[in-house]
Amino acid sequence: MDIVGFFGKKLEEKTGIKEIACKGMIRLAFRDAGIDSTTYKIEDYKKVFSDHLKSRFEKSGIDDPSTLANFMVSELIKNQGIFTMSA
Amino acid sequence: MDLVNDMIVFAFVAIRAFVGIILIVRANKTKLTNLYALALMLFCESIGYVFYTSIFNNLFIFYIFVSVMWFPFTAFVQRTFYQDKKSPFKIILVVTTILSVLTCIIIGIYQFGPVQDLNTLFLARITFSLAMGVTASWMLYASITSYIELKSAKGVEPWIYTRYLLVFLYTFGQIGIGITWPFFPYDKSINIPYLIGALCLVAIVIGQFLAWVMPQGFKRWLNRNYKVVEEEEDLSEEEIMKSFKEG
Repeated sequence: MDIVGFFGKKLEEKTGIKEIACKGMIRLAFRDAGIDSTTYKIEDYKKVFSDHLKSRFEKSGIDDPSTLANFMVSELIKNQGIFTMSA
Repeated sequence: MDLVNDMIVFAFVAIRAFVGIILIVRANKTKLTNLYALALMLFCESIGYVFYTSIFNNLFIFYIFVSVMWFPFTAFVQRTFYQDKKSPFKIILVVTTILSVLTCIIIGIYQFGPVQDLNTLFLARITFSLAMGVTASWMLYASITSYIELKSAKGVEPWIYTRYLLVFLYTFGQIGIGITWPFFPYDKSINIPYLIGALCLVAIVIGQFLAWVMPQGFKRWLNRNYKVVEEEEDLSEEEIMKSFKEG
């Protein structure tokens, strides 16, 4: 199960931006953090979403990057069972 | 009768221990520490049931192991579904601790006391069942709410939904055992609660095996109607940033 793909779809639903770009954005954030995007650790995702993805949103110039990053973190917390269930 | 009963119990112990080993392998691979907790629960349960056989028959040791197993179990539920989220973890831990300690004390009185009073055994069964009911109900609630949340998401493979449902179903079976446990016969006879409990136990063992081992053939069958979307070629960093800039 591609967990980055799962959260990429969530980002697509929220922003209306194509899924491939959303997934790419998350992967870029993982690269910035120096964390392997195939990780199953929720702590890694939390760090990436709240810090590095937020920075990427800010750099891209998208409206309200903080709210968007917070949305991703809240989706992460809400759907945290997926990490174990897809392992 | 004892031999058949023991063979069934040993078969269940072996399956559970196997599931526990699979979980440890998976925990090592994924670094998901909650899976160690689930494996520990299964090992405690397996060891406990060894002492429920006529060969190693020792109710005190049995109840110690099957009472201790609720602690890794609650840790598993907390770590799987409630990280950074409000949860009744502490309350459940306190209640389970009280009930488990009571179970061990009462069963100790029953086994080592001067008189083996069946009312004392019944009381131990009640406190054990309550501990099982409290923890399993929490797992039931956590798994079903998590499943409902996930059901609306796109692109989730069917085997993952099935794992949620299997966890839900076997936890339901645990509650079934919890309800019938106090009314199991004290001798070697068979009554309705025993039959229901035995059916629940079979469902639990099969459910745990399918959910956590998830054999490849079973997974493929569950995914038979699932279309894997062909990955488009990845966008360059510039293209990704541009997509977000344009919104």
